[in-house]
Amino acid sequence: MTAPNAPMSETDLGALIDRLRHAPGGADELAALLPESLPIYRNRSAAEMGRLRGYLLAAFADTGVPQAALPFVLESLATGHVAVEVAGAAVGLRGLAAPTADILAALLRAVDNLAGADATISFEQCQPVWPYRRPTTALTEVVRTVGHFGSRAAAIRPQLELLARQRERFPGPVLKEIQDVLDRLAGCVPEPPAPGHSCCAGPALREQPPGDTTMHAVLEDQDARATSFGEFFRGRPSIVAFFYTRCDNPYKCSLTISKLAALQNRLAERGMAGAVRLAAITYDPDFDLPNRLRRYGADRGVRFGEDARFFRVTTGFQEIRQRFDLGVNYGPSTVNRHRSEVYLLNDEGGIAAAFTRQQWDVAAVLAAVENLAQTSSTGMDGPSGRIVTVWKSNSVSSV
Amino acid sequence: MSEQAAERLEAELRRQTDAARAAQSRYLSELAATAAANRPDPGLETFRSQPEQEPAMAVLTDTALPAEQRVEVLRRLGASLSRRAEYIEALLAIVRDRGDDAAVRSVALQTLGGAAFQVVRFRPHQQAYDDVLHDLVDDPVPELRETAVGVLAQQHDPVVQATLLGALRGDGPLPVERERAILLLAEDDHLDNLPWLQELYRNDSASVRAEAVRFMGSYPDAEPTLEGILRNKDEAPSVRQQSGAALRFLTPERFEAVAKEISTDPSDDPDVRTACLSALQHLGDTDRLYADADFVNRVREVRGDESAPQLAQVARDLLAQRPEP
Repeated sequence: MTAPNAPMSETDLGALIDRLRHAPGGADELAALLPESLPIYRNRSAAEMGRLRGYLLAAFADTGVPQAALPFVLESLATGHVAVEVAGAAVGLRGLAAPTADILAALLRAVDNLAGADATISFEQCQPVWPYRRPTTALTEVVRTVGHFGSRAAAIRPQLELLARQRERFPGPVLKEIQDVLDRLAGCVPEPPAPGHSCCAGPALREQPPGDTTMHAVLEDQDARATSFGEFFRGRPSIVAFFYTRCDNPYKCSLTISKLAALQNRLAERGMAGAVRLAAITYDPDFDLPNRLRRYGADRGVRFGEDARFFRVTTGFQEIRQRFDLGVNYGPSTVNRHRSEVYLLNDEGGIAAAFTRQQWDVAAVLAAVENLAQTSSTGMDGPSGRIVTVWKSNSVSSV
Repeated sequence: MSEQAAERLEAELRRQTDAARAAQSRYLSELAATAAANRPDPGLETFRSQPEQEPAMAVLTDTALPAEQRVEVLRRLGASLSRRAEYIEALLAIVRDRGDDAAVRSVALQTLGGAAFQVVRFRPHQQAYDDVLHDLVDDPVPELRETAVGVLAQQHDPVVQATLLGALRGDGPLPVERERAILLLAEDDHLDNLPWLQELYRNDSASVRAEAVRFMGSYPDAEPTLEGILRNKDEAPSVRQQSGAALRFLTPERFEAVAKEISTDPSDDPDVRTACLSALQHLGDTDRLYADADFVNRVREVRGDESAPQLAQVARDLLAQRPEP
């Protein structure tokens, strides 16, 4: 199934989702609508994107959740900050027979994220009108989904018991939902969660496209110094994150850049500071001028230097967008939605590993860097173990 | 402060504290008497405790009492009462009740707004509070409507944003004045606000135009508009200055180029010229500024301009930072 390309109103898109949720093969067709970079999402506001995403994800409760949809569902649960989106992800998961351990972890994460950020929402239609006929809240739906899994969710009973005692955090009706679930779990024979990861556990790998022109893209760094993509990203491996300074989701860009700073520290502790370059590139190059890049990074602990720079693309952003297949789209004024994305590039600027969609883990990226080091002709110098050799470019298959 | 003065101050503070305590005590006694003398109101019975235990609750929830008496409870005790869950719930019920007195509802809403600042303590009530605010968006009392829309818009609430956007496009009544609706939507720079801000800029009031221009500074596409406004000698100086600030926020280099021209243009408004030169001096790239010999020469001509003394002073200050060799 290929997603529709022509512009559609929010009402039409809602009608399409309603049709697919009852159509044979609808699950896969709904999954094809998930990538945020699809042209149908261009020029919508961030609020509209949140509403559509919640409505779309909730439809998987009727169709079942195809494997291709799981990374998106977990992304919304773990990093969503809009109640309707998180609620949609929680409702959609009821299309699964059994949760994996990471699905249960994502549900708990959603409860944490929603404390103080919950809101009354409704899935009675794609654009419900206040007052809602069938109101609910994101927290309610998350807790109900835990209850839906019954004995398969028994592994997180201790955490639920802890939540049930936090009367200062949750409204009465949510506490009652939690207690209802606990009561139901009390009579259950615990079953382990389904084995394995719910989705792409390892970093995705991508071939460098033929005729790639990204190397000529012109970048401007946090000090307004110009360079080209090829000039900075060739010669040594690099870690590059994408972000924008106006991102209002605390679980995405701000966290990504804070973790990039943590990664910088970890690399330094291991004597690898000079061996790997760090970079972050903004999705919003017209607004994110050098001073904004610098302030955003410095505020989150990044130490700038020759090998640690933030960039805006002044020429060739479309090439970079295509090259990385960036999970981003734009409203009339700025980014309307994006995924978390961090890439490990080899010494020729090719993608060696991608950490996308779900929040990345500093240790996992560090392991990928070390893995890349081992598969290249790397030598260690002296007791500090500093990597001193030139890194060889890796073919994707050898990582 | 002398020892004697300190003692006098201490005595005065003690006297004032005692007087306040006595007044509070008298008020609570009166409240208890009022509560005991009145019949319970069935509408808010849920929140009523025993009158002798909770006179404040009894008076607050008794719709048969004069509004002034109920308002007084909130004025005097609101901050402490709103720390308790049962009072928050009572206040939410009062605000939601369109049959209740508008003044009582309004003060109850203000009290809730104050309580909401205690973010952690208020957390269990936040969603119910937001629901009440949503209910107020079409309330017949304008003050309540405007407060609710303002609070929700500041939170980038999608329900109120959809209502305002729909109404601006002609779908349904606007809960607030059109200008205010546009400014409230502009709080969220992820919305398509530029066309509305351009509409707002056509307003007759210079202060409204200045607000429109201020918000345009979040939209790179507004750069040509902002430059045009900054250059427009027929525009009010206050609006031009705001446009300069917005342009500088968006593209400091473009602002620098335009500000250099304006600040040394004798035919332009002295206030705008002064603001431009001052911004260049204090906020610009000083090295680049002094490297522009042509500009520095033009500033030298300005420093003796007796028709614009403030501008001349800024010019002298600027030149004094880098004395001629």
